[in-house]
Amino acid sequence: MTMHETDSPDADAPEPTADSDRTAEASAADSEGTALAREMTAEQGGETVELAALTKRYDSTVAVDSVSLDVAEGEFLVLLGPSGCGKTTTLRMVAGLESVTDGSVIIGGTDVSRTTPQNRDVAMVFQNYALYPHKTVRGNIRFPLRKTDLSDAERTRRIESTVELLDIDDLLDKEPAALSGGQRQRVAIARAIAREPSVLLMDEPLSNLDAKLRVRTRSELRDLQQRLGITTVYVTHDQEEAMSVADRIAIMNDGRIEQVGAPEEVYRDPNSTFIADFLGDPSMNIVSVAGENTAGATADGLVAGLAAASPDRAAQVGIRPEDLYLVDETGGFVEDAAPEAASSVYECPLTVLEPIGRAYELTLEAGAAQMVARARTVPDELRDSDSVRIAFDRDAVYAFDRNGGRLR
Amino acid sequence: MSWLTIIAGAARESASGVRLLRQQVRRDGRLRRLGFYVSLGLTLLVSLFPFYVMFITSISPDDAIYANDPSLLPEAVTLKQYTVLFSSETFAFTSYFLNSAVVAFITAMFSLVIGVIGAYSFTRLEYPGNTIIRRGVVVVYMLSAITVVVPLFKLISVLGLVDTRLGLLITYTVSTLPLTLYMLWNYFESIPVAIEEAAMLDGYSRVETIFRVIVPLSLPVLVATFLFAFKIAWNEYLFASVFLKSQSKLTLPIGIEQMNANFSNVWGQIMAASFLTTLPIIVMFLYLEKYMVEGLTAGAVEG
Repeated sequence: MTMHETDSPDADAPEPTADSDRTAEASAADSEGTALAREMTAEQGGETVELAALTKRYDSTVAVDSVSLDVAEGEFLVLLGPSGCGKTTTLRMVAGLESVTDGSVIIGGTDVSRTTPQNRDVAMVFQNYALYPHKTVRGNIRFPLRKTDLSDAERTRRIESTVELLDIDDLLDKEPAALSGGQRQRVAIARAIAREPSVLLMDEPLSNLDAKLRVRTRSELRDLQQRLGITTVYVTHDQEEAMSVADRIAIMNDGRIEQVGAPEEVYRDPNSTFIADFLGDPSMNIVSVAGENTAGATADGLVAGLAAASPDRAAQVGIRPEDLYLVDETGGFVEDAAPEAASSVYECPLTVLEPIGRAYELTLEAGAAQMVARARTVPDELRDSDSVRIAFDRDAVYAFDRNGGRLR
Repeated sequence: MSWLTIIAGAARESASGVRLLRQQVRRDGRLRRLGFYVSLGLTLLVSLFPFYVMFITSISPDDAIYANDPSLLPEAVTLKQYTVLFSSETFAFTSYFLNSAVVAFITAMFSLVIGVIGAYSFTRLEYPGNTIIRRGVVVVYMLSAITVVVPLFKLISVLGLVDTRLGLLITYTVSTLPLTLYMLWNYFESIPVAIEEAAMLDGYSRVETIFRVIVPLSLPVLVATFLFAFKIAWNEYLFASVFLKSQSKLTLPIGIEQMNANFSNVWGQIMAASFLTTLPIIVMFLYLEKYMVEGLTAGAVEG
C-alpha cells in the first residue's frame, strides 16, 4: 500500500460504475504505478551500522560518550532521549556531518569515520526537511540521483516509482514553498530514498507536523521502512513515536546509551529509574523506601506494601500507574482485569481525579509521596470521595538501588 | 562606553519623539498625506533636477547654453553635442567609455567571485582568524579612500603597476570587496545550513554545494552585489586620477574632468558625456532590478 493522505487503499478499488471507462483507465495507471513501486521495494536493502565507542567532545563538554551500538540490516532503530542527550549528535556523526572525536562509525563493515558525507551512501531526512527551495519537487528528487551512475531513463523511472510510493505524483512540478508541511515531509522522504541509500537517517522528521498528521505519518513511515527493508536510524524525543515505529529503541541520557531493546522490552524491563521514568505516560511512580534505619517511620501503608514486595536492599521502588487497581467496598476489583498477584488493599487520600478521554488519572497521596493511578472506569461514588481504595500487582513492582540502577 | 549609552539613549528618545509626532499627524489623514507628498516632491527634486539639467543641456545648441537668460525648457533640440563627442579627434570618449566598462566589469566579476568564496568561509567554516578577518573587513570598509590613497600609491609603484589597468583592477577589487563580502555574508547567514548538509548527503562535495545550491539560492543578492561593485568601479575618480597617466587608459570620470580642464566652453559636450556615463548604470539597474526583487521573495522561503 502506498502512503495515502486520506483514503484507505481499498477505497481506490475499481467498482463497476457508469463512468467505468475512466475507472478502468485509472486502475490501469494504478497497477502500473504499483508495479513500479513493487520493483523498487524489491531492489532496496540496507547495510549494517556499527558504532564503536563513538565519542564527541566539544572543548570541555562531552556530547556523546563512548556509544557502542549495532544496527542490523534492515532494522528500524530509534535513538530516544530528552533534548541535549546527544542523540542528534550521534546521528550526525553517522551521517558525517559532525566529526568524530573518538571511536568509529562502521557502515556495511567499512570504517567510514573519516569519510566525507557524500561518500558514505547514507541519506537523511531533516527536521525542517531542508528541501532545495529553488528546485521543483522533481528537481529535488532528481538532485541526489544525478550523483548515481543511473541512465537518464532510469533516473526518471526511479523518480516515478518513488513519488508513486509516497503518493505525491501530483506535486512533481510544484516548488517547496507551495507545499504544506505534510507534503514537504513526503518530498523530503522521497528525496532520501530515491537513491536507495544503504542507510536512512531521520532527525525528528515528524516534529514539525501537527499532532494528528504525526500519528498517521508515523505508521506510514513504519510501513514504508518495512517494505523497503532499509536500515533506518531515527532520532526522536517522543517516546510514543519511538514505541510505535521501532524494531529496537536505544535510550540515551547524558551522551550515553542507557538501554537498548525492543519497545516492549525497554518498557516492561527498564534498567534504571531514568528509563522507568522516561518511558510511559504518565510515568512510573517511583518512591524512595527510606533505608533500614527509618523503615516504617515515614512510609505509609501503600509505600510500605511496595517495599515489602521488593528485595530488602531496594532504595527506591516503582510501580506503573496501570498496575495500581481500584478496589470497591466489598473488596472486589472495580475493573474485570485483576492482577494474579494482587496485594492487600490500602486506603489513600485522593487529591485529583482527572478524565483523560479513554481513561482516568487519579492522583493519590501515599505518605509524603504522590502517586498516579490509571483506571479505565471509576465508580460514581468515587467522584465525590476524598479517598480511594487501592491494590497493586505484586509482580509489577520494580526495585532500584540508591543510584537508580535496577535490582532484579 | 558611557558615550555609547548616551547616544543609544538619545536615539531612543528621538525615536519615541518621532513616534509621538507621527501619532499626532496620523489623526489628520489629509495633513499626513500632504506631508508625505511634500517630502516626496522635495526628494525627487533634489535627486532628479541635476539629472534633468544635465540632459537638457546636453541636447541644447551652444548658443542656448550660453544665453543670458537660460531656460529650463529647451527651445531648440540638437544632437550636435553627442556627435561631436564621438567624432572629436582630441577627445577620446569611446576609448574612455570602453576603459571604464572593462575595468568596472572585471572588478565586479572578481569582487563577486572572491566575495562568494570569502563570505562562504566566514559563515560556514571554522578556522583560526575567522573572526578577526571578518571584523577587519568591516573596519576597512569604514576607511575613506582619501586616507589610503598615498600609501596605496606607494604600494602600487613598488609593484610597478602605476599607469596600468591591472593596478586599477586590484585597487578596485580590494576596495569593493568589503561591501561585497558584507552583503553576501549577511545573506548566506540566512540560508539554513541543513540545505547544504542535505546536498552533501546527496553526494555533492562542498565546492559543488556552493555552486549548485548556495549560488542559485543567492542569485538576487549576487545581482545586487555585482551592480554595486560595478557602480563603484564605474564612478571611481580618486584612485584613477592618481594611478593613471596615459590618455589611452583613462576612465570616464577622469576623461570628463580633463575635458573640463583642457577645453573651454564645452559644457554641452561635458553634459552629453556625463549623461552617457550615467546611462549604463540606470539601464543595468532597471534591467536587473526584477531579478533582485523576484529572487529575494523566492529565496526568503525556507525549504
